[in-house]
Amino acid sequence: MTHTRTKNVLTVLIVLAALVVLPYLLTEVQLNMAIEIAFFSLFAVSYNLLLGYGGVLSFGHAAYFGTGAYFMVFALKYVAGMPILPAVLVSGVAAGLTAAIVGFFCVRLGGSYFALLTLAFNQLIYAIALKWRSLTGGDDGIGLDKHDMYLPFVGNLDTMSTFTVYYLTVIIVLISLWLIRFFLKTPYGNTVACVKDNEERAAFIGYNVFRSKLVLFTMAGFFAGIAGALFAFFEEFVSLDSINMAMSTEVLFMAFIGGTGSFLGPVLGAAVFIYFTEWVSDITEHWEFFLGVLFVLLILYANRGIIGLIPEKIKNFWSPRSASAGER
Amino acid sequence: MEAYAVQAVHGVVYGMLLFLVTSGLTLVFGMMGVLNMAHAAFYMVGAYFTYSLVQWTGSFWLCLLLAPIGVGIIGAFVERALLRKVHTFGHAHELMLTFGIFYILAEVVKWIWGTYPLTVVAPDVLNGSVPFLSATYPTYRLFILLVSVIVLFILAFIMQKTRIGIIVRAAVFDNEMVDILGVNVQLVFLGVFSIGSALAGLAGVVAAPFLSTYPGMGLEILVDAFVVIVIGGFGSVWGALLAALMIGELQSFGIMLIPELALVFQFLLMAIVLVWRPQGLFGESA
Amino acid sequence: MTLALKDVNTYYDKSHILQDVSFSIQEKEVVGLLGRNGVGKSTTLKSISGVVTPRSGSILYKGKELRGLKPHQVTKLGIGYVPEERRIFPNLTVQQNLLIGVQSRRARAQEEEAWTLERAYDLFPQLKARQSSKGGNLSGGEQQMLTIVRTLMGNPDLLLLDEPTEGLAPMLVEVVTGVIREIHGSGISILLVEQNFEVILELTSRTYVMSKGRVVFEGTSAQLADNHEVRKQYLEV
Ligand SMILES: Nc1ncnc2c1ncn2[C@@H]1O[C@H](COP(=O)(O)OP(=O)(O)O)[C@@H](O)[C@H]1O
Ligand SMILES: [Mg+2]
Repeated sequence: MTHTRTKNVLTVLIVLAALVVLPYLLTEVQLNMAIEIAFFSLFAVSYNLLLGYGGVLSFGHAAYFGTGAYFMVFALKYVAGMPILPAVLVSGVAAGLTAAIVGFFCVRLGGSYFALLTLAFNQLIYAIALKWRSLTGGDDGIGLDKHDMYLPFVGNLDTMSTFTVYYLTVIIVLISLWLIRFFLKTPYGNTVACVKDNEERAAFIGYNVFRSKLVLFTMAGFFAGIAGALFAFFEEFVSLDSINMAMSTEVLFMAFIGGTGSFLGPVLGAAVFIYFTEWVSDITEHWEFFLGVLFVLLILYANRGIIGLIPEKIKNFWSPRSASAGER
Repeated sequence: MEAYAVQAVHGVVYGMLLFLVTSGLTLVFGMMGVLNMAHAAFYMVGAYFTYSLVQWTGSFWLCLLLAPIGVGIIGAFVERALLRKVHTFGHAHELMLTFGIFYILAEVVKWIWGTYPLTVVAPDVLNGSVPFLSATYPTYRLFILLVSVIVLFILAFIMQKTRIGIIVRAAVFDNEMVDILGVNVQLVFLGVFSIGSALAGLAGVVAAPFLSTYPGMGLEILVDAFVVIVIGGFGSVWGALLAALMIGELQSFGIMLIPELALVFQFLLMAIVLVWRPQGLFGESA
Repeated sequence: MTLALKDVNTYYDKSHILQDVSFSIQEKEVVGLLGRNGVGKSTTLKSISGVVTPRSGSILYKGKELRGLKPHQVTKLGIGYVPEERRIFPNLTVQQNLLIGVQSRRARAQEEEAWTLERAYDLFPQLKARQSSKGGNLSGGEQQMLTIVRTLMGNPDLLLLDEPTEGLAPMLVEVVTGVIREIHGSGISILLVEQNFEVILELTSRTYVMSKGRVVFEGTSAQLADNHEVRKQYLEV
């Protein structure tokens, strides 16, 4: 027991140390990629709350990512002197609320219904973003007004520096991941996350399946919104690309390619995905075709994703307790 | 007043095109329980086939036959070689797979035909217009109407009067029992899936000269088709017909009266139906 | 020998249900299969008809191996299976339900006394009267008739019947018994799963008794009637 615990703590410390020194080892381009991997990881993990834990397939998760991204811009633009961290939180809350409303319609219906409703609502929110030009800039997009960030004891940070953006993103992502992980381990979180396995049994013993699913959906929306806010902060610009169907597709790919059966699978998926978009696109302009083929091949032959292809031994070492254990 | 009449007919035309697309989708869903996202890609491929076939053969009429056959063959391959494999993994995997196929086909279309919108010209007979009230109405739109109505009647006839139609309806309810009674249900699935795909292809053919042929056309129709299915009720052909006409009219008048909000109306209608009758207008249960 | 099972083992996932089940049926014989609830009678019929595939053993029908065949293939070989749950198609009319059972390519279908729609209606005027009603609107007894006749439309040589009198009123039980006797009279072998011991005594010549997935008794029905020990241990509640 204590032995594994020590190993866990050690692993975490090594990873943290690596994340701290990483910016000094990478080129500017690579650092930018690292930032993207970080916020997409959070996006993909939030998506996996639905796919991996809830067992439902959403085709509209970009709606919350995009809502978060737009609200990040709005918060910094329309609220004078809005500090950055609260702005991120506001974005998450806005996305979470949107998810709660959409979820109210979607989660009571299972299976295919759920899938096509999430897609339809994504299109609705997209249509609003497209048509409400005065607010969102329509298809021109909208720029983000960056200002310095004040932290107690640290002072003012230059948010134009990639280093700052990197540390800010990584810290927020790590905290978010930790919060999600923590929630899933609480007794309530555990029941919520097990909806997938024993929906009938759960309903039978009289516990509220609808509410659990709504909680899960709202939470997924909230953290997707946080990821969206970080995306906006990194890009310094938000357009319809953040809220369209392609973005919803990408997050599905990231989560599934990485592996939906484990907590960290989607993180791996986000990394693979960014690699594809940055490097494979240099080799062939039809990289999206190959991405689709990879996706279909994994569905057919390895539906636990890439992480499922890693031998158990290695996996156990660096991801001591995977969600697959909780999945039973 | 007359403008309204014209707009109403526009609505019926688009509604019937939408019905043509969703008919195959509901057929497949009703029988196999698979919401086939690739259906939208089949529709798009039908349109692109039409573009190329018109280039090579110069005959649009030939496309009405060849393109659906081509798409039907792709559909047969998808069912036989891919979909059947993941059936035991559960429906989330089936959905993801059909989505993956949708995605791949969309990329293939871009690869082969590029990303620019293509124009398909209808035959001269269909290009004119016919007298309508005090003005004229484009012939091609009436042609779309005609094709859709013919398909509707053929489908209704097959489902009500033929043994194969009866088998399909029985399989919707209990496909294992149909198999026990000596019918190769896998083969029926294959047939239904191919015909459903071919119908999507046919919709693509008639849509090609009417709407523009571009890589986003699949997603565009997919969303409308989904809204139709939700409103009409899963697996219900009559529900799909009614809902398709409703959406057609709603879009048609929406664009005429309040263009900024036209896109939003159908989602609003969908939300209302969902709250009031979650199983859809004609659906039996969710 | 028409049908012979040898050491059949069938599983549902990890639970081992049928354990080395062996028995046989002769041409034109009516054989009973008895046992308490949950001993594997239905699973036996499902294993023969191809609804589930046994993990090991062999099921020979007229010298052909059935294990691994799909249900429709087994049906085409001449085995009709009437499952316990009846499973009529409620959205189709009585006539349409019957049409699905038709196997026009079977040799027997060409013979003079083959089952056809007309013959079925002659024998079951009740079904004829309701031929255009939806299957879902029939009474329990009518549904049981329909499901048996629907299978007969395929002109089987061997009929597997799973508790055809279950849940029927005594008068209907007699009707169904008469029907089964008639079917046997037309030269069809029958494997009959029943809980109703009287029906078994009346119809079958030989019987097998199952317990916990195994065959525990084999003999003529008269022998079983006299064997109080077996009846007490494996049949009576
Ligand atoms: N589809 C199934 N999945 C898992 N177990 C099953 C299934 N069907 C039946 N069983 C189990 O197999 C055993 C035998 O069932 P069955 O053959 O239906 O019994 P019988 O017909 O003799 O009453 C029972 O314990 C039952 O619970
Ligand atoms: Mg039984």
